[in-house]
Amino acid sequence: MNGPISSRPIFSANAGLIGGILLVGALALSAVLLPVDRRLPMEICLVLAMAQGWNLLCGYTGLLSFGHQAFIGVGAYTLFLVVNTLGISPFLGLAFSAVVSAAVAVVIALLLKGSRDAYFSIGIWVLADCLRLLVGQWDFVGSSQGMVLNAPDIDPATFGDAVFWAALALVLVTQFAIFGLLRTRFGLGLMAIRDNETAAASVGIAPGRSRVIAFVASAVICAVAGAIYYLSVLYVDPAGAFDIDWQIRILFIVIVGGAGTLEGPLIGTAIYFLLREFLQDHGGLFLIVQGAIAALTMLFAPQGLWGLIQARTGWQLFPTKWVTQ
Amino acid sequence: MSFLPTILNGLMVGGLYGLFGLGLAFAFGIMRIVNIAHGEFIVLGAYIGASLLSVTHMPLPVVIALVAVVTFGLGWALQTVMLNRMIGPNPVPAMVATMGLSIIIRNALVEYYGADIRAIDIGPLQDEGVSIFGTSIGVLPIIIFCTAVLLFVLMHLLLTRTTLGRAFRAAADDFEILETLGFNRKRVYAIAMGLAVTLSAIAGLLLAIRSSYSPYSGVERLLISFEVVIIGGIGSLRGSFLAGLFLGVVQLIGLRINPNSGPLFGHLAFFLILLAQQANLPGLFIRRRT
Repeated sequence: MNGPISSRPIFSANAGLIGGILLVGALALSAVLLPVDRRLPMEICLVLAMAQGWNLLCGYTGLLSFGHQAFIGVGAYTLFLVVNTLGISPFLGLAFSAVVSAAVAVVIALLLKGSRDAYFSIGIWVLADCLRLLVGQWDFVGSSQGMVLNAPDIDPATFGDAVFWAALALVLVTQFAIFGLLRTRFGLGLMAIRDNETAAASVGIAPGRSRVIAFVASAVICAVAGAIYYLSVLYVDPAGAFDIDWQIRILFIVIVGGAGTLEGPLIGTAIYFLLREFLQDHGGLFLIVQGAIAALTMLFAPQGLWGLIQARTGWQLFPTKWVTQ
Repeated sequence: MSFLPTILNGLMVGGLYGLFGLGLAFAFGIMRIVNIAHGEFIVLGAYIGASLLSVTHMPLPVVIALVAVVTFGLGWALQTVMLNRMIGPNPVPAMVATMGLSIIIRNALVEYYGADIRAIDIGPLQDEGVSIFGTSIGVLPIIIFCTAVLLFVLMHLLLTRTTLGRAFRAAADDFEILETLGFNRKRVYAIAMGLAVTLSAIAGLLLAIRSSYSPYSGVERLLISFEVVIIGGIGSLRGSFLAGLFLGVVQLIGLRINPNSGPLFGHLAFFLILLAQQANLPGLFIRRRT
């Protein structure tokens, strides 16, 4: 504490944060106030939350997971199991989804402890496929037929709104919790590991432990989001809940928007849903365009769209980079 | 009921699984690129072959040769147009780009051919069988297995006896030295990717002849390829071959025990081996270039 105060590092462009909060607030407000069917805003909130969770892992620790559909499925099935057997409120059941998915994530982290890069990416994909096949064989949860939520105290008039509020709360908490986390010592450590693991370890950051924490956090976010999604449709089946398409959606959003930024997934989500709404009458064309955009992004803008904007303008709506004043 | 026919059939399929893994390992060993579209190229080989067979009625060996030429061109173009721009210590861009490509191929196949499960009919050969050790084995699986073995032998000769093969092995070890010897690194890479895709596409066509396929088969075949690579190790032809045989046997025995299990038993066997490797052989895991 000897140095002059003016040389203390601070987060750059704190003013940008006001813009970021205003943007997210305006989006949330429009989702609340616009008198439209709330299913689409709910889905947008959930997919954005999943994308931010996955981004915490991929963008901030460099672990590219192709298997996060495992957690979406685990979250959804846990919710349905505890609600159907214990008879508790579905919204209380979300807590069980979080706990169980965290436990599953810890086990997977132990299994894949020695696996890096492609080995991790495909190892977790194989694990997710195993879970899909095992749940499809499990008669108690309806095997491949899936199961229906038995919650007699659900009021159809308010249920849709309640699920929407849960989704909105999840995405707001996720966005600002990850933002807060990245500004702590732990979050800066994560970014240091991503950029140079050896250097990070040499200044006392534990790469292994930090990665596991980020992994478990991303798993819990995806699990709760998946649970809310399947809660809204009151039905879950293994082919849908453990579908690789969830992972493709998340990957597209984060990669095209810009991995390793908090703004990227916001842009990516907007692009994804705009594309989907425009191309919804053209069948497989939407998926083909999605694949092409992902490939072209990697060719011409590997940092994603927000990465391009940031490189040109230096803007940060959610400032997590340090500068010396 | 004896398990012998199941085991023999598993070995026959396993030869093709070995080729799947060899293609993936070849690209990974030389270029450090994990081709997520690998499974889709395997399926694409089947669709191209099936179209050629039904439209032109050419004999199967000619069709296989044509599929090889076409898919070599595809792999070469993939490396030249896209992947050569993404070579580097960070494996993520190439994986995401090939992931995007896999989505394009998969859905283009659905749009063009439909999503239904198909099989290739090649006439009376399909029903013939011979008796080995008192159990009946189809002639066709034996021919397919022999083709797979032949391709492994050809790859071995290519890698050990030709300049191109030595260039591949040198590229895997140290591409900078290779460049000082006058080789064009990107051209070597393009040929390697062409070969990797060709091997997988031929194996995919052969597998389609003896079982069924759909545009969605690619994911499962990619996972099989990857399991072969991990079990067999990178840069070992014999390893890929034996790992393929092992997975083929495990999978078919699993399907005998539980017909609904799909690739589950193969996945579980793979994880047991992965755990054993983590305990003993950390050297098998990726060592990143620094």
